[in-house]
Amino acid sequence: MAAPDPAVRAASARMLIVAVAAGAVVLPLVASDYVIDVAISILTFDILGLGLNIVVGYAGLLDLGYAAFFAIGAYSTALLETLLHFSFWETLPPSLAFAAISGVVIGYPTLRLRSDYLAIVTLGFGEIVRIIATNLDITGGPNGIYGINPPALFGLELSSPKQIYGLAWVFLLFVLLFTRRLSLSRLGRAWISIREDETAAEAIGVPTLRVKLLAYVMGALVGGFGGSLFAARFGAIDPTGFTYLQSINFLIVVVLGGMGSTPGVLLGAVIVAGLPEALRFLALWREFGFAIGLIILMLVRPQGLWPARVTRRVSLPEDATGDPVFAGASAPRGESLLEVTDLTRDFGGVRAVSRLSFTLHRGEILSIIGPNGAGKTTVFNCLTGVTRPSGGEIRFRGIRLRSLAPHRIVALGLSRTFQGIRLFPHMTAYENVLVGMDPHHRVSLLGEIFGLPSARRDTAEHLATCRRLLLFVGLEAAAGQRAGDLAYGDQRRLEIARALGAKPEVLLLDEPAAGMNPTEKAELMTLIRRIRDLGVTVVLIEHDMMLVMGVSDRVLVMDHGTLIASGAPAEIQRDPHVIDAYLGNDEDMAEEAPEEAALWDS
Amino acid sequence: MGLLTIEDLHVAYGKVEVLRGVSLEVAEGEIVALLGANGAGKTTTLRTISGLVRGRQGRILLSGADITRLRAHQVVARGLGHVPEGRRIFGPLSVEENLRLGGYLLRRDAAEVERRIAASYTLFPRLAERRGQLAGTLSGGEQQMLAIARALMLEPRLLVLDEPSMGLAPKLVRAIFAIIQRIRTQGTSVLLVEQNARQALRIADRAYVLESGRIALSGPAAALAADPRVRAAYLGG
Repeated sequence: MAAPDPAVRAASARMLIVAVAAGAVVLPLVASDYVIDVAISILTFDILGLGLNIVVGYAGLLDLGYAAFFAIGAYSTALLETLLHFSFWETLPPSLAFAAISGVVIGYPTLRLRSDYLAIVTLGFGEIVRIIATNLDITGGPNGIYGINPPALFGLELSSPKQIYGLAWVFLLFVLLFTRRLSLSRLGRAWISIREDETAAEAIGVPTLRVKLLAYVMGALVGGFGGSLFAARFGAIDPTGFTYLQSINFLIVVVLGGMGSTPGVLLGAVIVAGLPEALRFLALWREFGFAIGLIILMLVRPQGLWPARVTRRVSLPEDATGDPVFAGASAPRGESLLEVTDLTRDFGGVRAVSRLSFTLHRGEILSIIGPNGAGKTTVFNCLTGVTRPSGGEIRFRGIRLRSLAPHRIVALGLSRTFQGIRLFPHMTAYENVLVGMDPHHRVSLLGEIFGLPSARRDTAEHLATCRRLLLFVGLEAAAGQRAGDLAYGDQRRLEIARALGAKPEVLLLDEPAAGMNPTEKAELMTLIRRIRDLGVTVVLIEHDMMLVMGVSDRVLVMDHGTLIASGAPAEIQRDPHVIDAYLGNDEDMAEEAPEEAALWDS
Repeated sequence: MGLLTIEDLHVAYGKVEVLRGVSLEVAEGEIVALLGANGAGKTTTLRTISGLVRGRQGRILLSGADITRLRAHQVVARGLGHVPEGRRIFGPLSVEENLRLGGYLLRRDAAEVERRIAASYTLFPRLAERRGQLAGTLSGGEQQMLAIARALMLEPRLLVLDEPSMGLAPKLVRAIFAIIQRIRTQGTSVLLVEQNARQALRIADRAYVLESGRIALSGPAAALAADPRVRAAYLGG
């Protein structure tokens, strides 16, 4: 599919918005009450779809019980109006609060679950809410609650379909603005990063548990908001409006429209709420026709009717030049930065790392080499909190790292890249870097949602830093491209820029030269030296001896989980244990040595 | 007539043209290296040969039969083994189960499957030691050996290898190249994609250099290893 020019696309998007707005204004003037009623249903589905899209589309968490939040909003408004005689408007803050609390209640215990289990738990939660509503006296049992007063505005009761229609539009516009600001916020980027690769997100500094919890809370807020509107519209509610089937309908809105896509969700709601009405002529076969229609639509458009767009136009501040600044730049070189003492890690009966001790000094480039399976990556995983050590101690600037979550360790100043590239492939290059900057991104969420000047200043500052990082690795021209579309060498450099986004004092690189040709390796060597010169201490795992011997100040050699040698590169190359365990000893080495030696000096 | 013949192959992902008219040939009993920078289209070439990616234009012949339109499992049945980049072994299965899956197309010929598993263990004694171990817990070098052994289970006429030395210790890199030479003596031809151009050119008979989706250079491996352009770009000086 050809991607149109962004300017053309923006113009056609504006025209579409104008057309929809005009249609929305004209509709109540020409349509019957029945049509307006269907339109209100579509608007309600729009709101619920947008809310569920936060959970499913942005954060990638499958939720089969979303109707529960809808129910909580509706029942809160109904009960507060009928029992405590609140006005409709007065019920909104408490019912939103109830919905948000229930988002925490369902979110918290399920955060560590993976998608399928999560789906089952949310399904259970949805049913629990419905059954409670059916069985309690206060909620009116199966008969529900009626006599809910319509909302009033300046003494005018909004009770006719046309008035409710207008109210629903106001609610929808509110939700649209809210979800759009959210999707562009720091939190929105964090959601997408955990959908793309949760482990990588945590390991580069995103507090994934909190971020997922916030996805539930934000989704619940919008769901509760929709529920309040629903109660006001009908003046009566009962448990049959909040069934499992309703949750599935909301999910269909999101999946059919396009997960993560706002226009897609809006369109999905039109289909889910509108198509069954349009199929009334089928009489008893209506549901059947609807189901067939859904299947055909999904087969024709498996990504959704209007899939989420990835490439964004990006305007990074052009005047942001110069090298990025790191905390370590002014600190004295040579001081002890990281101390590893007797580090041990067992996997089942296998001891991957055994009583390993070493010290990292500020300002050096330290390489860890050794045969495959020697335990090098396990050391990295222990340092970054991805794996918990079985024994021993790790102190970074005197702080014990052993029981800290990976994102906390990143915030302290230890960041990393991965052996196999783990970028967020569907996010743009600059968004990848912005996610990497998360630990030091201090902008407030409310500021971003309300578009406050302070938040704009923060964002501008972060975009400037982001551009400096991209410039530093030579990728500023690719800022708006999807990370997954970048050439291999560029992906490696982007991963380094993302790791530098956390302003680390120590950068851990796991086989950065894997799959690079000699030209790219030579560039990588220069880049590693430049990183060190900015005050970042570098630890490197690498098999490429040209690179290791060329850039390292010191080399540690591991075999079978233990340290078998350490020293300057030249000593290591002559060490008989190292030659025996790792380098090998045949005519190839002698033959390659002169050329490689020439490159190390470059 | 070569074992593998590719004529004017064009491949695109969306709008991005990756291969723009690649032609190459592998003769019976040859080791042919395919070199090039990252993004040149090496992996795409291999994936198109084995039917994982569909070309826009061009033909692929294996032993004279047109395999251009066949699906991956049909190409495998015609005698092509593919060892993918990054090994792609089945981590939660044991070493032996991985090998059995490699012999999936042998169907119910249990005796033959057992014979070939035994042959794999002869070629890779290390795998015999680890036969019951979960493949995901093997070291990188062992995983690469398993990936090769799995592809050899159907005794392919042509083995295509995508960066077999990636991420391996220097000693193991040499072991892998020695194994590739042994595979050839057992009657399987090899098409090899490698970043380690020096080693690849040492064991190959002929080589092609791919640049931006086109064959920029080709010839006997020794001649390419001496070519100043190749030395500058791929051999590091």
